[in-house]
Amino acid sequence: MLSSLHPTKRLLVEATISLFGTLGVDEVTSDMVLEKSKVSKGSLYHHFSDFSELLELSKVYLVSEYVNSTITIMELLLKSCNSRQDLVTNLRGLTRRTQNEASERTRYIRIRSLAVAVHSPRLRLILASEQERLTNSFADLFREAQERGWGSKKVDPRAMGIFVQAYTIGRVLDEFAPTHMDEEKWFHIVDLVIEKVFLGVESA
Amino acid sequence: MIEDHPTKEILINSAVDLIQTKGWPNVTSDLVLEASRVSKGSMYYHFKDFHELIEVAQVRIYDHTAAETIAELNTAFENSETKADFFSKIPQIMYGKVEPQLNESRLAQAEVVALALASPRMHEHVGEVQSRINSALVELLTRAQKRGWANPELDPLAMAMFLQAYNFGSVIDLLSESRVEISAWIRLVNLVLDEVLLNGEG
Repeated sequence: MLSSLHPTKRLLVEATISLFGTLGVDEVTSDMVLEKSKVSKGSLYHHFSDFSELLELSKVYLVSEYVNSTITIMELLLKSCNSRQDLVTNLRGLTRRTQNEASERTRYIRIRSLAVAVHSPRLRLILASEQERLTNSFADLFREAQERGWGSKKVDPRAMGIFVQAYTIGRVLDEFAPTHMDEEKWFHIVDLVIEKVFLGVESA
Repeated sequence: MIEDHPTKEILINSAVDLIQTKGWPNVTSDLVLEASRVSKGSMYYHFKDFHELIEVAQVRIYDHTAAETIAELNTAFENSETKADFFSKIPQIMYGKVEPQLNESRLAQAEVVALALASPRMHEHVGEVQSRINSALVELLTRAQKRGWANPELDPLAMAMFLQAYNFGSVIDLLSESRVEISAWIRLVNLVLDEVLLNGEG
């Protein structure tokens, strides 16, 4: 969690994350971060061996922010449902908000932080704990849906949590080939998977 | 697979071998030159810089891994009498490989995709490979639809993307503190195939 960082480090990470919000992740420079955070250059290099280390750490914490907001959205969504039909309707809306082309920035950052973590044991530890938190939240929410009689008992909650995140991230593969799929056709498949598999609805 | 100039191919193949044994961050230009017995001048004739050679080699690995899986799926499809028969062979193809090897190739795939998101040159290389993978899967899924072994109501390209998406994205499980049990994962994937993607009745 961000709050566990040294205060100066935290200022730097927060400034970097806020710059990510307006610029692309590759456009942020050390000067911009220093100006925004009001931290001195000496202090930056006291806490980080180089600027790219700050960038990498910031990407991981940006993933954390994404994790927090996703958990909040899912909790509210489940709370606001009074029937399985409500849940189906709300999830269709959520799919269209999280699976569209416009959410590509989130996908990019998640994938790039994953790739960075492969070779950085320190970042890997942080990312693994954030990843764990997100997967556990999905699993808990799914268990709650099962208890309310809406989630299919045939589905393992943790596997469900990984599966949802997996296709959300993996949709990025569509960006590379010159011919793209029709987004509506993708939504249709996601709807069917959620309804027929996760919620066990007989006819969707 | 498009074969490049022989010297270029030798360089790419040496880089592929070294990446697979040492991991790309440990592969240096000296190592590649020594293994390939190609001169430095020759290397810089074929590649703008060493980084480009590494990129091309990484994309080659990505390409091979996907091509191998698709070839196995095609063989299983050809040699199956019934849908149930075909269906039963899929988990072995997707998850049958020994763990460390399977994991390494999934992590490598994630790295290639991450690099391609940041580099237009790499984006183009991955785009070419991804086009071939998509067409091969679309062809297989279209044939499966004709046999009544895949959902006739779904768009083959969207299905091809969905299959690749959850397989690719499941790399997050490798980077978590704890792992999903492989048997629970396969049960879920089988439900998705059975109820949605390969549901011949739609």
